[in-house]
Amino acid sequence: MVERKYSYWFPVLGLGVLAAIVANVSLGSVWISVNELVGALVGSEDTDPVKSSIVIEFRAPRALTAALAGAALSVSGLMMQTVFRNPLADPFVLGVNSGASLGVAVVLLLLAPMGVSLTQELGLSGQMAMVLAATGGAAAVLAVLLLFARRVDVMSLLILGLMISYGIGSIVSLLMFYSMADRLQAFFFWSYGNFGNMTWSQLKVFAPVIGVGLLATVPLIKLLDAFLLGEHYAQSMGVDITKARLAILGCASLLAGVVTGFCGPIGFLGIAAPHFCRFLFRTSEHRILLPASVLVGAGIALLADLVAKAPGLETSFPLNAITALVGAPVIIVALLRQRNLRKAFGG
Amino acid sequence: MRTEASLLETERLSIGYRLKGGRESLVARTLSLELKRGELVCLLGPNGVGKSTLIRTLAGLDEPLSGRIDLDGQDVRSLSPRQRARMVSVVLTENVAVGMLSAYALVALGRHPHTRWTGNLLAEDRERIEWALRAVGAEDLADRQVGELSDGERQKVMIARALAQDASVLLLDEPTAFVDLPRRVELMRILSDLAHRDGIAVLLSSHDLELALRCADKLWLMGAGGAIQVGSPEGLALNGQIAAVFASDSLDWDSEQGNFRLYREAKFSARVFGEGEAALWTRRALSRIGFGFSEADGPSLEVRIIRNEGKTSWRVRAGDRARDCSSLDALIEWVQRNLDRK
Repeated sequence: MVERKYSYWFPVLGLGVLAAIVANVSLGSVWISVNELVGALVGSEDTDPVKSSIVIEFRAPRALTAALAGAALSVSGLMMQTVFRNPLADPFVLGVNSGASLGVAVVLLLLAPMGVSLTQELGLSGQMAMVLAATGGAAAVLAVLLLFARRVDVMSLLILGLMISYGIGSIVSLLMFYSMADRLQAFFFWSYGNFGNMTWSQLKVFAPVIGVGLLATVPLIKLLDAFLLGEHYAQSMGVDITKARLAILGCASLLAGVVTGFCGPIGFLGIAAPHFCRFLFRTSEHRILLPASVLVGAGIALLADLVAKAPGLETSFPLNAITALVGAPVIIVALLRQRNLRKAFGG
Repeated sequence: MRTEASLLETERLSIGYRLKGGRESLVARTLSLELKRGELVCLLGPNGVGKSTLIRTLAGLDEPLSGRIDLDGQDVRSLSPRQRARMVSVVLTENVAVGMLSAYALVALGRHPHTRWTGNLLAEDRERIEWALRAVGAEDLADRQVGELSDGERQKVMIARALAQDASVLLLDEPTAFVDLPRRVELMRILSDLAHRDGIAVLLSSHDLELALRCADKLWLMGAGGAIQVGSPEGLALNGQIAAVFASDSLDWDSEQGNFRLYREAKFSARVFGEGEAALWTRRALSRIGFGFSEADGPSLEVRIIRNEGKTSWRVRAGDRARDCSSLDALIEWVQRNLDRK
């Protein structure tokens, strides 16, 4: 009986994401009609080869990246909010984004001025070097925190993540303090976040990893539900808390870390999308929230990216500014509609 | 009198906390306790004596320091968390943040140790959930959001969640703590029905001595130092154990009334003539404002309760002053005014 109430939202959200993909691909500095879009995708000869190549080489991977990254961040945020029982938890509570930023800062601000170039020595493209540095940094922080996750409770873990973020942040700002302006600009550019740098060859890595990460959350649905009553109740219902915590935090951080590695630190999306889903479906059950978060996260990312591209204008905006602009009102509306978040999180 | 095997049994169980450096903070030692099918047991004791620690240890949330716990004849250490969860369910005292869930969905969480990895509810699970909701009288709450329920309603739903877990032992830590008196009585009746009608072994910790004395089949009386006396409520009251555990300088066990009395040194002495409820409450009122009722010294106050055509009035006399009062309030006021003058 409860399900029937919700069921019509899923097709609506699905269609919404589809429409957002079409809009994201069609609109930009060059406008592409639906006919041209279909033509480019099926390889029709009638389509303008320039537009066809724009769609295939740039727009399609960008839209795909946005959809996958949005879904991943949103699901990751949902899991973090449940495990930490904190409405403001985001995918980066454990500090994976600060780890990623340290990795990038080391490559851009420390190694490059010293004449060490990963681009030459490892034969990587500059973009791929950044991806590796960011993912490596995120993974290092994650590994440290998961080691602690066995020994301390979740609240301590949350604070630990925060402290590690501050610590790493100060190292990064030291590196920035002693850096040249052009190096800083490259770092800032990374920190704004961007879905547009993805090539098909990178997507061949990115898409399967995110896909596997998202699929890995399906067996976690039941565990996440058990966590709704807190760890004590979860334990009393037969959940092995340590293992479950490691699995959920590991999965969530992996998703967030990989997205940050490829696209930079993208804020707000991971907090806002799960709240929007709770507000829409009025439930905390993860078998509803998880698929909903995939769709809503993808949709918000696609729309935010579309706005960032500023179709029709001579400029573009930093992605992170847009996600904050889109995300903050979503959180505020969800808050006002629910009266307070304590209802969603008890307390 | 072991007519039935124990559902839960402890042998030389020691509970407490492990501190840093291998030291232990002992709460209670060598407890040998048992819970039987169909029994409602109240765990009573002053604050901070270790009731919660005992419940949490029995529920498997805290590790025992030593000794063993058997569930249905099996050592709990040989059970997987899932198997254990099918045998013991618990309602904790913490006021949980339940999220945005309907009462039904919350109760459904109790099926966790029974469902497969997908968490899908089968017909059997739904039957059990509906039974649990009915058992606590919460079937009409099923579609309500838990966040919108009153404390008493939410507590019922939390008990239903534990019942949905289908365990034969139900442990509750202070289930009536945040609930008003009528709701408290109702919850105790529900728990006692669950024990007697459905054969569940129910153990609850409580502060509420009077209610526990009236409802429990057995008391576990936990005193300072963690020693536990086991017995029927009446037996423990009669042999003075309850008084020994709870009595303090300001609280006096009244073994005739079966409850505690605030102890106040009597400054004056009074005698009340009359019977029934009116006399009981008159004595209570007088003792509250400083009167004792010992026969030894001559009373400084005499109150005679007069019933006339269904109306009650109080004739009060103190020395040479006397007065007829039509209500207990008027009597109290008169007595206080005349006491002040002395």
